[in-house]
Amino acid sequence: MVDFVKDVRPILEEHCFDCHGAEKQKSRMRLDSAVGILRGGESGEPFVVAGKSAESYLIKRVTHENPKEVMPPKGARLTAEQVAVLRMWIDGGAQMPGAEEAAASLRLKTDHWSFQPVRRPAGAGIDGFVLAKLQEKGLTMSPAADKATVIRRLYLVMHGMPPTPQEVAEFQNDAQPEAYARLVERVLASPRYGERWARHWMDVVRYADSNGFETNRERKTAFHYRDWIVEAFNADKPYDEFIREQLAGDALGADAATGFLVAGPHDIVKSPDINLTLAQRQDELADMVNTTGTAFLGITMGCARCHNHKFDPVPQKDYYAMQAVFAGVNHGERPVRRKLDAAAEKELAAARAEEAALAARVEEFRRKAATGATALRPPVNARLNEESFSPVDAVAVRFTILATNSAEPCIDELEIFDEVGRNVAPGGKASASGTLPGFAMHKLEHINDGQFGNDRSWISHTAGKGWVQIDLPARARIGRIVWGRARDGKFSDRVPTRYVVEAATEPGKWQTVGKSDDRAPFNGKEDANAFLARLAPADADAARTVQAELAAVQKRLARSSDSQKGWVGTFSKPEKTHRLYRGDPMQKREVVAPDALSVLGTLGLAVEEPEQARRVKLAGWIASPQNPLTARVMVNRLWQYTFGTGLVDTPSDFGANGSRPTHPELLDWLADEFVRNGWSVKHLQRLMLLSAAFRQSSAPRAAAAMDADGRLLWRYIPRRLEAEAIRDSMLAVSGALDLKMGGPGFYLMDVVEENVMHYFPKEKYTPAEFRRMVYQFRIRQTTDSVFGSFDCPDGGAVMPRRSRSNTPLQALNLFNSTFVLQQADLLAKRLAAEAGTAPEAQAALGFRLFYARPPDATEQSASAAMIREHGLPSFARAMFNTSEFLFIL
Amino acid sequence: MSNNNLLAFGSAPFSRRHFLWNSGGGLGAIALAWLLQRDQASAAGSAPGSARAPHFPPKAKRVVQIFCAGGVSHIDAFDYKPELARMHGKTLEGKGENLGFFGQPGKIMKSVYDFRQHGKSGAWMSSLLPHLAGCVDDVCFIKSMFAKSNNHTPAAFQMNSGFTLNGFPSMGAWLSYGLGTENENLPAFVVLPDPRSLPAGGSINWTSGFLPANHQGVAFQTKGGAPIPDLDTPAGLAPGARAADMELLAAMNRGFAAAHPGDDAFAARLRSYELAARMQVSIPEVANLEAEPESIKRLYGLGEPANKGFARNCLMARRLLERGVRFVQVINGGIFGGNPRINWDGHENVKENHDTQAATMDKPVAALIQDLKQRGMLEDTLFIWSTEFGRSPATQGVGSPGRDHHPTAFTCFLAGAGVKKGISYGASDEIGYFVGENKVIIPDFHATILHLLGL
Repeated sequence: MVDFVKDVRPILEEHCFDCHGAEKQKSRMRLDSAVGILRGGESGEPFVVAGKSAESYLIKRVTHENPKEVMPPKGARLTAEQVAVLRMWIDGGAQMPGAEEAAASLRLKTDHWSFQPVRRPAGAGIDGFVLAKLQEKGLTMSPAADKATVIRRLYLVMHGMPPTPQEVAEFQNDAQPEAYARLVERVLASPRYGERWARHWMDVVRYADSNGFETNRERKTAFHYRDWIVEAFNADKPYDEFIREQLAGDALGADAATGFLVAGPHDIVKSPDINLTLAQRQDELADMVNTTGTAFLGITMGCARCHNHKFDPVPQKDYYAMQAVFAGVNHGERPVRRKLDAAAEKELAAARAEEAALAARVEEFRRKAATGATALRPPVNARLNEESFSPVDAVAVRFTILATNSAEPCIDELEIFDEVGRNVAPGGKASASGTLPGFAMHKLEHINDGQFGNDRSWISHTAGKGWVQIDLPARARIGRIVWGRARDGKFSDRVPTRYVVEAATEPGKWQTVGKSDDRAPFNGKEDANAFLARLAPADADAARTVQAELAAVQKRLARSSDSQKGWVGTFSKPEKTHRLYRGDPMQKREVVAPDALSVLGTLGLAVEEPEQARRVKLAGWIASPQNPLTARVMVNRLWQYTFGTGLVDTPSDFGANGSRPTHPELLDWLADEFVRNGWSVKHLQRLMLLSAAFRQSSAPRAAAAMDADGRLLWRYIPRRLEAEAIRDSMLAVSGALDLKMGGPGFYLMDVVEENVMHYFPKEKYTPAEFRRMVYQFRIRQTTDSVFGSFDCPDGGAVMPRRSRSNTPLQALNLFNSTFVLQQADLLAKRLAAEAGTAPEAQAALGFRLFYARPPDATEQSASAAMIREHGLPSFARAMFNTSEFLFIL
Repeated sequence: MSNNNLLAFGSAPFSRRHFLWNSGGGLGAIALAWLLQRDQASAAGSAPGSARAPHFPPKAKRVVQIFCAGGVSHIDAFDYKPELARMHGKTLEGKGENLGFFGQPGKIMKSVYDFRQHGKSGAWMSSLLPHLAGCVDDVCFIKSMFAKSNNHTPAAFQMNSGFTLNGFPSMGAWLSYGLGTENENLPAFVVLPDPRSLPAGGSINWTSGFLPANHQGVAFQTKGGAPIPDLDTPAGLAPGARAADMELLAAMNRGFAAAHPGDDAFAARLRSYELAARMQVSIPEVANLEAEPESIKRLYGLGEPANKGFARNCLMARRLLERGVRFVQVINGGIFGGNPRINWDGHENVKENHDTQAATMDKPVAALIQDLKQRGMLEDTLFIWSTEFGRSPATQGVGSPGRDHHPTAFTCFLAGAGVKKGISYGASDEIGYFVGENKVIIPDFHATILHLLGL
């Protein structure tokens, strides 16, 4: 029997204590105490696994073959006898004095403030807590700001745009005591509110509309998630639901919400190199874990990817436990289901019937064109080709390629239509001469998967030739085959230019139904409607009419359908998650079950837990009144966007490395108030907006000496508007603003599509770009030419707090850019139209629109003189550049 | 009533209108007016980007980084490996899994160029870069570079920011943040993209990441036209009208700043317009290469078609450095895709590709080193030559003359301030596959740079 004190400790003392003892603890490893031995060092590796010496890090390191890894690094190595003693000690149970007490003391715990339960302090609302802190410093709040300042502040904070002169006048003329409370209600009820606050949340969750990295492709359906956020704020969706739906909306009838999981950048350029692909997947999962940690919990989980968190009670295992929750989540599109009422269902069914009937009629025309033809058919094109023929009963279709315009032939989809225009290929069994190996994008099963484009295509294994066959799921009477290289038009290489299409009426009984021989030679051009040219003029006209009707029905269907695709992620059966030594995917350690932060409890899930259940459980754990972080983190964000700086000024880091709250009682009071009132965001905002702290003047005072940055709230701190609010405000005052909500975003860039996407700032803007900036199609790795300099993020990483930088480039952008000049001209027209011809009146209207106040006499006369001499656009350009316009005061 | 009214109108430049108009309008004239008010403004708030002292005395005061996008083949340019010739045509063995991006292992291929020794230091260089070969006694090669990714964009992010992921500030942004600027009339961090196009990842290579936007690199438009967008007063504006815009604005903003004496942001805004006005003069001045003597133009090869406009960027870099710009990033190579490629990504035929690229890069970059040296600027300017990774000692696929990406050993070099001259640090293994000694990971590379800058 090995005795720790007599046999083991002397070995450790001889070889290890110099670096891992009382004086030094390299890698945070300490071996002169039971606690240290049980805890291990910062690697996260289990130092001694009782009964299993082979799995114990201690043994691995003292016996390591790599001279750079072996311990001790200098001096004599352990003798074989000494190693044997250590092994025997561990295999015998690793007993040592004080082990039980040490284990108890190691059970993860923390006294860090944010991990303690929220306790509602005694106190009288926001102002009570603020005043108490001010009094400690001998300070007071500032007097109330005047009504014009308050309404403008309220609108800029809550809507991101100034109030209209009518709204200002109405408020100023309302002398009733509850006028302000009513105004707050009106502001909270406006759809403009959800748009403004959704944009804040989009910063927190790194939302953008492109993939980032090398190809930076567009995500044209990411907007479903953005629209869901806008709607959630407008509807005052309880915050606990808001969380649950973003993590597991697929289980809660809110598909669009899971856009949260996959809103981050992701690299679609994969390589056969397994190291690279595994590392990319680890990065994708890290993005989900980190964003979940920072957005909802204010915890920087990412620090524990490679080692135990250096500041917070997050062991490395916890990181991988949370990663296991997301292990089945993938970037991509999925149908976004919507709930339809009975009337909508009926309407949908009717539209579908109409679509089918029209499609069948177009089909007839196509057949007619095919059968009546004498001249050569149009040449092959990369996008879409069709073979129409007299219907045959078929069990299989084979497409044989005889030549291409380059390399191995590629087909993105082979569609086989029956007499009534139904594609009968999906579900059929595909076979081929061969498939180019090693590419996830190019697989045989893509030939009839119903998905188009290069990313879902088949490529033959032989240059210039190959065949692909589909055995139909059931015998069908087919009359048309449609095929293409890339239906999205992004590729025009690898096009089959000579081919034969055959149909089998019985297995093995083939007949030719289409071929390239009757087509004009390939010339690289395309025309999807070429069949029209081969009809008699009257028929062609009739076909066009039917096609137009069909398009209209399809458009209607797309709108009313219960399922559109959205960039909201796909889910697959998760693989086992391992802890990775140093975060390296090639160094797998023990299997980790999905779980939450161990310091705050456990979800108790099995390693094999079904995918969706993992997310549902984690969401429930986060969105719980008992979770000490969730409510605190959110009320702090609401405070930050209302007052300019959070009570905790590191809004996504509530850990030991973040800041402490300036007003801890107030933070807890708000958190408690939040949960008590059904996690209502609007309730919390009402409390803040109605406080004296929010309504006080922003004028500078002597108190600045005591608290220069104003964190104690002796005044309301002025701050520059964010990029989006500046642009929205410009459009609002110029009168150009288009308030269309939701749907696909508008572009501030021109797009050039190639294998990788190129984006160029637009040189001219049309009314299509005059929507609120929350609806901008935001492209990663680009910055808008005008507003990029105003700290507008690209969604490359979470941005829990915007910088408010001030640069000469901003001045140049606001003075010389096409956008601002254009808005100045529009504003000039508006002033002329609405204020009449007198420059004094024009100036006055300008001041009311921009600042919610009239000009004083000097301002008015100077402005009017300027308008007289140089015209309204000159006045407008100056106004857009004024500090008073660009700041919340 | 609001306290924001323009109380300062009386003393504001409405009284200076006459003077301004006689000066011809434009931002430049307004700058003069604002200069008169500058004491007031700077008393209220110091300029946001003004120079800050480093942590200890720096060897380098400014940096120029050449970034060759696409991955320059170390074994065909700098890293002489006679063993490759002996093993030519053999299968690569004993190097573990294939690390290439496309996973098409080929056979070992000897360097496609001849190597010989150059200078007093006797550094080996291939015939690919004859002009740079003339600079070997001034530079320090690092032949044991090691990158984390074998994919262009993440590897380029890592070389430029230290991280393979989006969202982190780039080198120039740190320096702007840490050291500020020496010349307020120009941006602290200027990027000169290849005139052919932006590199993979675009502006993220010079992003300020989580730092404020004033630290992001200002990418000059290098294809012609104004160097930065919105620099010029729009052509359609009458000078008088522009002067009037400025005048009203100046009055209002100054009045506003005066009404908020505790708020630095308002004074800083005033100052930013003044700086903008000065940039309208200083940027066209720095971009005016015609001011250079013929001998200098010839040195860089200005106007020689082979360099495809890149020589202009190298000369512009020197002019920017001379005028106090803290960090100039000069990018050689454009976007991926297309045929022929316009960067160093020699997958298909490394010789063909590198020949074309070297013709754009070699002479102008060598000229930049020489020019900095002859002006004494190399003493306190750190010169960095970098690429995101090297290229594989084996071909990409059997029988192909191309080389795939190779991150586990490649070469970069430094010159100038505080850098040992004519030496080579670290080494790759016998065929340039793995690092042989003194591995330099990108964070180490960056730490060295920061150290030279006193940070």
